[in-house]
Amino acid sequence: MSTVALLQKWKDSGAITAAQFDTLNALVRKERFSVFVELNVLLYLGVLSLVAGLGWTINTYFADLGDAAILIGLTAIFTASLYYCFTHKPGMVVDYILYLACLALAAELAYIESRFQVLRDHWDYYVLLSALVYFFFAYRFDNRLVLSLALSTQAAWFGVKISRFDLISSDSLRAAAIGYGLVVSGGGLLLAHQGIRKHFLETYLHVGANVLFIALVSGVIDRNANWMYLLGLIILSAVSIRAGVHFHRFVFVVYGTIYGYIGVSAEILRRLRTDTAALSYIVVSSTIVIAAIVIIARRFGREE
Amino acid sequence: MRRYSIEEEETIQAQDLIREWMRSGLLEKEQIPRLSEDLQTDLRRTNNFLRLVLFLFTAVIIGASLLLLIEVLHITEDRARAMACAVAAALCFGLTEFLVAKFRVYGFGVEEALAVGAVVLVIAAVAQAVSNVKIESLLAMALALGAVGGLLLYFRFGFVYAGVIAITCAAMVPFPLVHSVVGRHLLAAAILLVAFVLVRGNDLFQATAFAGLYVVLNLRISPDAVIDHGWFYWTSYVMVWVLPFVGLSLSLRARDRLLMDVSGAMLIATLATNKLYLGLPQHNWDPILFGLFLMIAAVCIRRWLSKGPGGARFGFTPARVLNRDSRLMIVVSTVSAAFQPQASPSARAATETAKPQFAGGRSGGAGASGEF
Repeated sequence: MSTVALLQKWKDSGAITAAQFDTLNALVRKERFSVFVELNVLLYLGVLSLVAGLGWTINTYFADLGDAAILIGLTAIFTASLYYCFTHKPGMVVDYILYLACLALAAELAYIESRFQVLRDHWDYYVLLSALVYFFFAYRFDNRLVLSLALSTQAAWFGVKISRFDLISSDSLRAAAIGYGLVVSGGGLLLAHQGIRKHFLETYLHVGANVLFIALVSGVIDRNANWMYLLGLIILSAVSIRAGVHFHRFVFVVYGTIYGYIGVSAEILRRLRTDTAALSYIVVSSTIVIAAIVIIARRFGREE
Repeated sequence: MRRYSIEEEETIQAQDLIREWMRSGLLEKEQIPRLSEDLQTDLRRTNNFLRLVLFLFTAVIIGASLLLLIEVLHITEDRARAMACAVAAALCFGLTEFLVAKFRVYGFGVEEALAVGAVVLVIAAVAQAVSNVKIESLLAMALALGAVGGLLLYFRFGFVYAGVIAITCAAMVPFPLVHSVVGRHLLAAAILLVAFVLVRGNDLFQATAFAGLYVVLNLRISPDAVIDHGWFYWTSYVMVWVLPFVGLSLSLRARDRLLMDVSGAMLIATLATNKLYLGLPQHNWDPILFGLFLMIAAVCIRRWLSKGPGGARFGFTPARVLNRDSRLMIVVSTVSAAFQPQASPSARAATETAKPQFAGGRSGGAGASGEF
């Protein structure tokens, strides 16, 4: 039976109201057709192209244009964009104009430090400052795109901070990544617990979980690294799978399964001496993973 | 020939729709049990995340099992390896049939990996059996088998991605076979045009064929197209302007979202490659103008549509109607965090130098290109 026929049947039997029938019928027959995603994509590409072009132009012509012209131009873009955001109702266009403002600010701060070296060895405070500004705007305007920018800028600050201590090694970078992952995940949980923009929590957890997993897996794969990475990876995988199943966020089950499998397998395969043993391990362990996932899949069906 | 009846597939589509309508607030949660009574099916499904894991691990098992067999039995000859691949392919296909018949799985990941694995193993078997032929012929044969196999999987199990792979493989067959650039592009375009006509009515296949047609005709995005003059070059220039408008015209009339999106992307690609085509000099500020154009176009379309009666014109609305649109934008914004140069731990090494440079957008990844 076609969807239109089903809707008619449900309306006749009183399962749906006449108003619901009209709305759903219009959707099925494509009499009401949303171009929401397409307009978002156009705006996103537009902002990215504009900012890339600005960077390219400034980089090539900064000697001809002069510092004043560049700084006035970038400040004008930043203030005009912010003015637009504060004077218009939140919505699709405001979201991307705010994103443009944030990228213009980033370009301006980078330009100031590269030309005038105001903070010299402490230039990482620009990174911290811009991250804080992005967090403020993300929360003020309920903007996930700017939140993602804030999170990646915060990650950059963590990396720069580590480099300040002259401790550049795989372990110190992993430690920075683990610290960052814990701060992001913990911060997201804390803010959500306080009821502040609870819908941002998943963004925090996705970013935090991936950074943590990547750091731990790289630690496990590194032959000279501490065994604590493996222990951390197993615990994190178990927590991720358990929480994913409990809260019906199955992408975290995927993270836990795949990252966990890669890490544990790297450790086991390193100890197996023959190809036959390694291949046997892969067949048996993959079968166990499939059996476990099938049990979860049967329990939850099509739920997402 | 089909493993699932049309009624079963319609039921599954309707199940997905009512779930989406409930999420979008168009149906109440209490109404769902009553509506679901009309949508009963014995097919077993899972969500897309678990499906992905099941697909990946099944594929790993297929590969590892075959290698284990070759290792244990010390199969070294090409013919014997070809035979092993052929037997494994038959086994995979048989297992797919068994799982679908016995457990009534549908889009469950395991049976999909087995079916796709069967096609890949057939290609591997043929490649092993005729390993002495030229690489071009081997590649063409693999692509042809991929096209036939994809088509078979689509007709037998309804895997739409297999249909997409079939169209793509079929269009690529001329590339290793035909020496002349013009000849292979024309032949590929002809195959895609025929596919476009044949699959009319199937949104995904139609969009795939149309996108492919554009890619093989736009000589500025095809990696193998080295010509920059002559009748074919200028005909292709005309075509890359004509195709997006034809696609937009067809899709807006039919309200075909995929074709509309593909045509929009084609128009953007045409604008981006126009100067290259004409041999005009590129300017640093071109992306600024292009970005402004895209933003102004989006704002104007949005305003024009929202000022229509009921916030829509001709049925098109800039408002979000279904929840899945929001979910898609959430995914895009979350994933965008990874595009910043500093986002991954491994990229941190790039920040080792304390001396700041106006390159790479250190203050938050300014400059999407990372070439700031």
